[in-house]
Amino acid sequence: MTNKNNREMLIASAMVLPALILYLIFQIWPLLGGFYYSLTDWDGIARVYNFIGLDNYKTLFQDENVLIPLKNSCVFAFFSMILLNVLGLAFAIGLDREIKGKNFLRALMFLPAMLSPLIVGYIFSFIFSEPLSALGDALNIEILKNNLLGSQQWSLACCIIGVTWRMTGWYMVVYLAGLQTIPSELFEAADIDGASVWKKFKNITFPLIAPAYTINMVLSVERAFKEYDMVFSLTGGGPGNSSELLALTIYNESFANHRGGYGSAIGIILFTMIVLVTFIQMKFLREREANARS
Amino acid sequence: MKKTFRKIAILALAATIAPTMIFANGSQEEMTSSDNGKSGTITVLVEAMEAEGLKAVMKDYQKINPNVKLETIIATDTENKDTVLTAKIASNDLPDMICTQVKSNIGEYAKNGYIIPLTDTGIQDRLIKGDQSLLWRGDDFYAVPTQFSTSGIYVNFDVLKEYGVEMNEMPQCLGDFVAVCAKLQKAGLESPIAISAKESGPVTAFVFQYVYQNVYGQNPNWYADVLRGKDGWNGELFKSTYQAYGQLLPFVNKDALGCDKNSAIKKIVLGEAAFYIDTSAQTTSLRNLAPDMDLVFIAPPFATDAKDMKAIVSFDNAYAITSQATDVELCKDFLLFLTTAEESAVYATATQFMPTITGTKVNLDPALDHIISVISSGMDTVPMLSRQWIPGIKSIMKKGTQDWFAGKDYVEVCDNIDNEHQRLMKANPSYVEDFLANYTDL
Repeated sequence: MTNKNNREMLIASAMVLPALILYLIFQIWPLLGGFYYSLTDWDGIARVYNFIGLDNYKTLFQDENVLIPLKNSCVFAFFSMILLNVLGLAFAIGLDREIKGKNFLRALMFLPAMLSPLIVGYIFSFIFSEPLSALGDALNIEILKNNLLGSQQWSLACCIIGVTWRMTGWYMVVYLAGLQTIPSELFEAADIDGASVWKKFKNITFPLIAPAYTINMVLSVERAFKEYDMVFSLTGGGPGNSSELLALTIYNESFANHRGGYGSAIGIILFTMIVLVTFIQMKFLREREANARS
Repeated sequence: MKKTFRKIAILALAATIAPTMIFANGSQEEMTSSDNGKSGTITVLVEAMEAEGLKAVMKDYQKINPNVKLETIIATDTENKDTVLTAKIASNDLPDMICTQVKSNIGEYAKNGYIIPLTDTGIQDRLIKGDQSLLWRGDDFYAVPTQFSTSGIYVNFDVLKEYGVEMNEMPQCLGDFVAVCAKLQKAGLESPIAISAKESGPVTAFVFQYVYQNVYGQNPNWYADVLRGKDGWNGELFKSTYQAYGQLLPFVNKDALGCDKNSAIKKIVLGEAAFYIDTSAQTTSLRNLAPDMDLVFIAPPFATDAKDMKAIVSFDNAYAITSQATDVELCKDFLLFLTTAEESAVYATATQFMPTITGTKVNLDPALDHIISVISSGMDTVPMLSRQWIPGIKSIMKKGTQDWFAGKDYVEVCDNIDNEHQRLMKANPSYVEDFLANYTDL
């Protein structure tokens, strides 16, 4: 019996090994490399660099060029998380019903998620600069007329709108999968008891889609912190740095300003932040899942 | 008649600004006849237009070397090209050749051994006269420019006619330009100038062009003094830039900050603006959109005093062979072929870039006739000096100028730019040392 167990363990380990090796090479090794460079003054080009300890980390917490994008990233993550989950869930509930053309509508909703973020950025750039400007002209709304992307107050909001449009369908699909695991008998029983729509949602739907909710909450925050392409093509982080997210700062510092070591340090901070936020979210959301099950 | 004029103008430009030209014809024939059997693939990092030029030249090259192939890695723009290159350096995966903007980066690549010297090819002697300083490091020549660019303003004369404003003489100073803009506005054109303040090139164009003409006009050693700590971006000289830019603001499109390059180009093409500030490299894009537009490219009239008015000209993009090239001799042979007068014409025709090789006969867009003729007739020139400045300068200038556009006080903007520049200097001390060590006060 023990021999059999050992053999099974060996086979299982051997099957995991290729994936583990790839993971170590392509995930862990670059991460360690990034951490190593974050302790240097490497400019991203030179063959030589100096070890400067934690200097990059000390600098970045006093650097406005990092703190403003950090604040922007948090705002972006918070609002996009809320919008993506609220709209994703609303569309999922709507399209979970027996309505005509529901499959077509589901596919239509999911379509933007299949587009490249860069393309979506250019599409929204056009929408803000042409039809919305024309609308602003017609209604004589100055800020709309002069292109919202050019407003330091609105540029980040425009990015949130863009990412919400692109990804809502993706989150909707995860919620749909969760909704389809709820036994219909529960709703039938609730109907017999005369429960209102809101009560059914609050007491049946929402608790029982807890796993889907956990996945969507965690992924929406993690993706928002890493968002780069769409913001790059939509505003380039501007005007000034009003819509600059940390991922763009890493790019600018590493490649434009030739501060590879500093860019790596910001990358490590971003990684740490994502890990921490994910852990906190997982802790609370898993507890919620357990409560829902009980 | 027009074609003849353009040919004459190009030849005149070459003859005037290249008094020391050396016609190096023989070497190409020698090479091609003796190296019939060359084979291999040349991989090159380029932008889309450059790829078109290279393909056209490679087609001719393959007539004598049928086994040579070209593979291009296309970058969207100069910034993207820099990024790709930096990533390839970090991953030790350089292509055989790179086409990079002529700026201080070339020296950095050469210093670190990523590109190899081309001095022995003699290509440097085939170039028309121009500032070659950024193509060299020490005694070695590293990069072959194939594009000559000039900064300035595109003028849509159809719009001027439509609004009944005459401009028989091109504006010679900022005052002249502001006066024409005011006339156009009075005649009903709300925003005579189209600026794409969303993008780094267009939003910083005025700032840099003003600095070359006025700040350098008053202190030719200005940037060296900034690096030495004797002056700064928050000094009175630089601050005057934003005061002057302020004179243009009433005439600039109100949506400038959200306007990208394509939208700005659209404005001049559709007649919503009469002026568009950019480099001569945009001519093809404009012409493709409006083949019949009466378009003229003029030198930037941003000097506060007409005596400081200068044409801003530079070698633009240049090819270098990397240290990881599979077949260095093949790459050198191809560059020698590319820089013959005949193939330079093929390249220029395909790209519509102003050629860099002496003796090149090519028909360029008529929009460039004016600038070619004023440079040929002896107008003072100055290179695009910002490209000699510290890497990262364009990015901080973009941010600062956008903040200013958005309403931030220019004094605060200048202070921020100065702080940022100090950061760059601290992060790149070897650049500062090298610049000052090789700099001679004027």
